[in-house]
Amino acid sequence: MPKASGKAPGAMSGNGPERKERVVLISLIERHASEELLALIEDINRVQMSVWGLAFIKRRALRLMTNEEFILAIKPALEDVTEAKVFVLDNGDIYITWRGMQKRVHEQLCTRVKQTLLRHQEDGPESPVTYFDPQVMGNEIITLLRAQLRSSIPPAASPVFEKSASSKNIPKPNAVQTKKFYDAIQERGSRKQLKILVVEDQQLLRRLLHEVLRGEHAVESVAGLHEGWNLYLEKAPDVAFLDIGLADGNGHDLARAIKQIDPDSCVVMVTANNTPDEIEAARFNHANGFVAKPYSKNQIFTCIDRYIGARRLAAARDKYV
Amino acid sequence: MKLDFTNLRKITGGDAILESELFQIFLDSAHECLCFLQESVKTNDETLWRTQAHAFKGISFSIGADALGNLCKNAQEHYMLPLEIKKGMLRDIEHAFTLVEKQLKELLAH
Repeated sequence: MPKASGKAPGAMSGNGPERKERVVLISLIERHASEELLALIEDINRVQMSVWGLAFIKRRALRLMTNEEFILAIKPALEDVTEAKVFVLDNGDIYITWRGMQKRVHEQLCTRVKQTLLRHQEDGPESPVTYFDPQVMGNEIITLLRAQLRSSIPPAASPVFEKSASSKNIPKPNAVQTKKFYDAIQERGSRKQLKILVVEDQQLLRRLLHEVLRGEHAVESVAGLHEGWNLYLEKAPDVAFLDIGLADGNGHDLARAIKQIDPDSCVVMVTANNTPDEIEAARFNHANGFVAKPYSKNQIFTCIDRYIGARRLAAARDKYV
Repeated sequence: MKLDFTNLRKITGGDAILESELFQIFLDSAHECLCFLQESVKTNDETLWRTQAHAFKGISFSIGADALGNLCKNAQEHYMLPLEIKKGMLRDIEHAFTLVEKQLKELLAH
């Protein structure tokens, strides 16, 4: 069972006088990095999100340093991004993904690496940082990555992971859905009432969860994965409660798809199968919570309270950092 | 076979109309699950057995029918056992459900 070992070696802030200061979370992924990276790229390709950039740096071109030192060194190049992940493969090679300005960040990375990180400065004109244009981040790149990563990808350890590692049965959002989704994301910060999505195929459990949440929040409940996906793209809810065993698919797939297009979302898995494999799959997909059935009202409210707390913290951080 | 409504009541707040609605939904869903379980035994369909036992388990625990829920949980976990054993499990589930149904129908009648 793959495990993400994301660490945040540091947060950074831009110092330009005209620039609003902000914190960027840079995650370092070392364990099972190949698998995680490939899954991320497949998902970026699947939802055709052009907001992600991807760059590759050969470790042997770099002078000796720890992964943490490497991140500290490239931090200034990432000051314009909203999120970055650094994947260090088993052979030491590094992939960097980021959400934000594509070309500019690539140029900054190249400059930074050339200036301070290369083992031999006389390596020649060839760029030390290979950039993958997200506009062409299609099957060719996936194939290329698979070929590059093949030797280091261990076989999936459990069927749950296999299910969670791909989201093939979730369709890409079309242009209208994408626009609507980003409009809804913009509107999310100013909502007076939280929007909550419940995806549960059992009518009784759907009704119960709806009953727990209604009144205080705006709740929408659907029975299937595809309905849930479409509604998520339309409404960009604050919190999504997802059953895992859905009639038309696996809730882990939906969680993964949601987290890929909306990393700030709050996704809570709700299931009667609270097995270690299911919990691990939820963790792998970066779900924010895992609630076993039968749940209590308090468990559900705790998940929502955590989300509200995190949102307040983020707002305060944006204001004061 | 005693039903434990403690958790359910925390959600419904004792709203009798809502509880009646939930009981009715449970009974309808449970009958559906039972039909599928019976079919899965006839066709020896392990996947259908496992998914329906899982569904039955979820709704049973949520309504406070813990004994029935545990039988379904056992059925779900042992979906690969020989058909004869599964037939015995199904009989136990049917019997437990009959008792739960009787109690719920009495509550619905009041």
